[in-house]
Amino acid sequence: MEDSINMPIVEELKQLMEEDFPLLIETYVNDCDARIDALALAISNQDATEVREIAHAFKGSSSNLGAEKLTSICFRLETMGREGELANANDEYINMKSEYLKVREYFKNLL
Amino acid sequence: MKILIADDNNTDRLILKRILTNCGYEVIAAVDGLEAVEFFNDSMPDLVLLDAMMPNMDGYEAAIEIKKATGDRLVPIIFLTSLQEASALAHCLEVGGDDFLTKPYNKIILEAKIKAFERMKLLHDEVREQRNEIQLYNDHMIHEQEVAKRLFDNIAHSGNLNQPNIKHLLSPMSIFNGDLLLVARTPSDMTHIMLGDFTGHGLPAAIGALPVADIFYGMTSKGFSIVDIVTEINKRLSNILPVGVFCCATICEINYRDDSIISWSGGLPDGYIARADEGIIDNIKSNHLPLGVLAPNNFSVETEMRQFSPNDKLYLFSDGLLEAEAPDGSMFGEERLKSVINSYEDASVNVYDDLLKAVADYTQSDKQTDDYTLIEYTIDDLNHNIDTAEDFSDEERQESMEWCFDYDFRPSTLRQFDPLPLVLQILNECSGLKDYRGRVFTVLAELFTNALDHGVLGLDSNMKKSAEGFAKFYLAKKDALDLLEDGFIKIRMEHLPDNESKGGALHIRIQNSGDGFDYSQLKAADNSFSGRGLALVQSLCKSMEYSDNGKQVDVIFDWDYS
Amino acid sequence: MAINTTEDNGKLIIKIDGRFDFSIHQEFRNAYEGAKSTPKEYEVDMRTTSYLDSSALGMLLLLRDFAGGNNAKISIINTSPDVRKILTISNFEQLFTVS
Repeated sequence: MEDSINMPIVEELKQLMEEDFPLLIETYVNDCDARIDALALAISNQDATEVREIAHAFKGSSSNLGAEKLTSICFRLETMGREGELANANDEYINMKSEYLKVREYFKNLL
Repeated sequence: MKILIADDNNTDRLILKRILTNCGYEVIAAVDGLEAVEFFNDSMPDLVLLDAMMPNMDGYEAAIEIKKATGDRLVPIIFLTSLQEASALAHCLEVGGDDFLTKPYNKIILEAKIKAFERMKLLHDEVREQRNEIQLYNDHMIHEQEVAKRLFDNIAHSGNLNQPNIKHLLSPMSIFNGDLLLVARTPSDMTHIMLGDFTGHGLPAAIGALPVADIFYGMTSKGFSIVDIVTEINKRLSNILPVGVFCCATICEINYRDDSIISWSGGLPDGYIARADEGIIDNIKSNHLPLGVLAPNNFSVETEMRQFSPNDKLYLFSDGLLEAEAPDGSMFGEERLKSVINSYEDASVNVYDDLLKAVADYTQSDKQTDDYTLIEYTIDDLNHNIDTAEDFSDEERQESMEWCFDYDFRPSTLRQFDPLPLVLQILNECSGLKDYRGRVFTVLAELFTNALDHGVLGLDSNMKKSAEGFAKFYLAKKDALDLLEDGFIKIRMEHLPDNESKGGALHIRIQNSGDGFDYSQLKAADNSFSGRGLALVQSLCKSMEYSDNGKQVDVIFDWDYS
Repeated sequence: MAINTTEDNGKLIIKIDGRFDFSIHQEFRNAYEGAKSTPKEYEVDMRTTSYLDSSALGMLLLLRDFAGGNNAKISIINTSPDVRKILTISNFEQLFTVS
């Protein structure tokens, strides 16, 4: 998992949040579950603005939790949305979904 | 410290809240701009962290609303942003943000920034508190000064300025200004005018003004001339004022008996005398050091004397008038002033109003910053209301007294000493006669002056009839006094009570050592004396008789309690 | 510094630059009170003095008092017409040598 997750960051978070760490994970998972579906819809609607906004939020949360590979993918999708170039969005989305599921699994197991 | 945070991203908000609570701050969390503004008004936090991009109301709008609500409190706003572009960051500051932080949140940077703002806020609060304290203290002081000002006004600016022939302006600058404007009448109806300008403003200047006003009014009411008054004022000021503080002043004595103005001026800009149809006819120049500079034994009291015509106007002013500034910084100046006063070439012109207007137009100022004092005294045909307006204490009617005294004045005294005010003091001892001081003084002054000028000094009063002759007369008088070696004037005053009327009769005899004159020339066919002064004396007295070849005159002045 | 002081053979020369008013009150005092030795005479150089107000006149009187009052030897030199006029109106030529 080391190429997906920045462990020291997760450790720091655990120490910071203390008893609220599970709450943080749950919040993250709930938010991103909703976002991943919304993203699929936005891409099928070719809505570049929507794609950019969702990817931006997704990126932010993921970077907070140290999911660095996922963060990079989100950044690429955000850029596509900003530039209005959604040609490769679907491919990128598939990468993102698969990476997200990995990360999701990892965090759920931490609880 | 209470901190308000607003971020629509749930994980961001959770993490940020936790970081801040761990630092010991109280945290209020909002999910968008609307909630941020609402929570701000409810809880009055000390610091605000706002995410830039939020739904419903973004951070920029929320910042604007919050800034409106803070008043004069300092509530720093820090924007939280992942936007990297410079223009977006600049926009944060434009809407009132004080700083920004980029995401993801770096705990150390966040803490450092908050601590820095905390220090700034403490400083700001401290300054605000000090300002409030100072404000309060200042209000107290101003109130005290206002009370003191009323006291000061009663002494320094009492009455006399509201006469039909006087127009004046006293500088409104500061509660106490160092400007004095005094007008009073002697018992023989000469008018004394003084304009004084102390160095500096404020309390020290005002305190110096009090003894000056006291001396001026006191000595004028006793009949002293401006020569004695200005000497006494200088003596007092040089005693009480610290080195470096002084009073620039001009004093004038207007004598209606012989139509003359005597003036003494030290340190003020030139005063002017203007005549109808002619404009400025003379300057009153500052020939002396200001009052309070020279020790009494160095003080010089040379006065200037000129003749006036009816309706001549006398102008005195402080240097603030010449220095009145236009918006571009240039000064009103002497030339402009003179040209306004010269407009009196047309006698119908209202010079005073024109002057005020000219200065107002030049400076384009509101009245509050004008800092000059000015007086226009029109030397009109005075209605001789001889009872001087002085407050006498209510005394019971005492038994009228019987007394007699003789004074003998020799050359050394005549040269340097005006005996009349002291003679007049005697009358104060006789209650009842006090009410007639003015009249008695007029009689005494007229007879004494005649005895001195024409009797002892032998001067010819016809000299005074022309303007140059006038000046020559007074020079001649000065020379004659300097050279006088023999001679005398004797004054005898005897008072006999009248028990019926409860009043009495004052018998004044004045003798001089001169050559005498043929007084029958004076009497017209109906046995009255011509010559304005003597006619006046005769009208005031029950009887008037010359004898001893004109070297002796006896008058009887009777009075009763009216 | 608005005030420049030099000592020359028993004479203290105080040069005043710009406005001579209350704001340089302390500086002016320091100039003559802090002289190393007691000067026999004083010179106030107003070549670059633009303006003089009544508090400046007061300061000159303080200098005169410090320097011995009636026995003081103080000259005021290089006065511009404006400055000269102010000194003339107040008749300070009776107390100082003005040029």
